[in-house]
Amino acid sequence: MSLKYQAVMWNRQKKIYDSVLIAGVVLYLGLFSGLGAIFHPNATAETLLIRGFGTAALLLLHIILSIGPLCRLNPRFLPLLYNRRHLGVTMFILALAHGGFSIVQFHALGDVNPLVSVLAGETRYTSLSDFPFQPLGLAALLILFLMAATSHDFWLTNLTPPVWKALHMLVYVAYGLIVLHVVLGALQAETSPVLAALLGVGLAWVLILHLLAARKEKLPDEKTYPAAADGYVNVCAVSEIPEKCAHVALIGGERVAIFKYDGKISAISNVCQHQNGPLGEGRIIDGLVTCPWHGFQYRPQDGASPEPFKEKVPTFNVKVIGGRVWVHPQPNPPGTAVEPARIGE
Amino acid sequence: MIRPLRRRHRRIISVLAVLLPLAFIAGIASRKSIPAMAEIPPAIRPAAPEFTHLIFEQNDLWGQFDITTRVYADTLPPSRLAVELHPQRYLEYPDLLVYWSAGAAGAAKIPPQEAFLIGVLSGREKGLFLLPAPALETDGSVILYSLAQQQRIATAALPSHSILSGGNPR
Ligand code: FES
Repeated sequence: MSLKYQAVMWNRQKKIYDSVLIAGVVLYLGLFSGLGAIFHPNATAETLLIRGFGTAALLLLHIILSIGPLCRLNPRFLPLLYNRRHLGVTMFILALAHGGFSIVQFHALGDVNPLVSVLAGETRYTSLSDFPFQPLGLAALLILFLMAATSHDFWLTNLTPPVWKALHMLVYVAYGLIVLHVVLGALQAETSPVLAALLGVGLAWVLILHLLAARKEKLPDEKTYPAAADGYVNVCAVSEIPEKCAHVALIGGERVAIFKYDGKISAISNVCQHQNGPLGEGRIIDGLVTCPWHGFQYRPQDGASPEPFKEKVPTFNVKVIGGRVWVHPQPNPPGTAVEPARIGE
Repeated sequence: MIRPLRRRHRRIISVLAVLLPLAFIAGIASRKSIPAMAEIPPAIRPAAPEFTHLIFEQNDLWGQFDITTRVYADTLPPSRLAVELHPQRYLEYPDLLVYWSAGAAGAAKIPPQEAFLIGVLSGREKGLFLLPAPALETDGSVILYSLAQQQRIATAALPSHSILSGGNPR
């Protein structure tokens, strides 16, 4: 864990991040309502609010979904990833306001429970243009709630990062439901080509970014390495690894980050203990491998976080022969000290 | 991420990359055109070729609504008048009834009892409405009334008599 980590307190970066986020949301809602009142003088305040919250949530979801692949494609976007969870919670609150106002406006005045009315009010499931789009939005809202409620590090620790990550991948299901909710709902009534084009561009943007990032992400997994009689595999030349950075390779079924620093080579698991971030895409700062996502730190020679932190990742035996790096595919238990290989010995 | 999660992530993205664009295109292609109001009955529909003399045109009679108003006469001097309402932006009411009332129309929610129903207006469609005979003798008002909302949506003063007696106002 980073020495500068503050578990509960707000550090400067978080404050700036959240201030920009809140200012952006307030500005968007103000502009949307103001322009909406000018260009749609017949629209009621409730209608403008429903549309404002809905479009703000949709826009924010596109931003959130873009951050991950953008960071994979270009590390300059990494600062956006730092506090992405706050974006997610804000987006959920906007979506909840959109859903809440919609239920009050369209379902609260009948003699049926409003939620029953949302789920059973429309039943033409065989028609695209009359498809009951509101249950799709409600299902997405439930997923977003689950994610917002478990977004804190408390849940991350208790569920374990792989389970937590798997749970939070439901965001893609929510995204699919939301796109359908908009296409089969608002866009059936709003015939302006601009709105359809905006959603189409947003969808294409998210999908293309993810496909590009997935292709780049897959490359290290495609290479296989020849093993010697002692089990070590020949991974790369020392000269291929930039100073204080890592070469990432799939060895023994999982990714290993091989770092070069101060004339030495060490290999540790590529998987950060915090949110499974890619350690091999980080750097060595102050002698410690620093995760690019939120700054957790590990000693390269034993994979352990410096005191008082307790995180540990597996290490790998490594040697340098004739300018090439050899790594043993069998991981050592997390925190096991391994003598770094000396370059040039 | 660990390898199984990366694999799952890739699969989810691949499925979405196929399904969502298809769903998007199908959803957009299945949109219905917005239904327009059926034509008004011939009995109260003036035939446009009869009304060839434009005697009045104004763009700002309807407050927040962007509706161009034109008054036409059948002959000069006129024996009948018709008013044309042309919404410049979509009117978000499916059921607007158009009334003409002698004098100022007041501010009541519903049109006055003695008002004449002269037609219906819908979307951005131009409507030509025959004005009742008293419009030749007295100034009046045109009222847009929403049947579903049971309330007056807008009112415009139509000084048809003043225009006729005061010369050509164009
Ligand atoms: S510090 Fe959060 S994933 Fe590594």
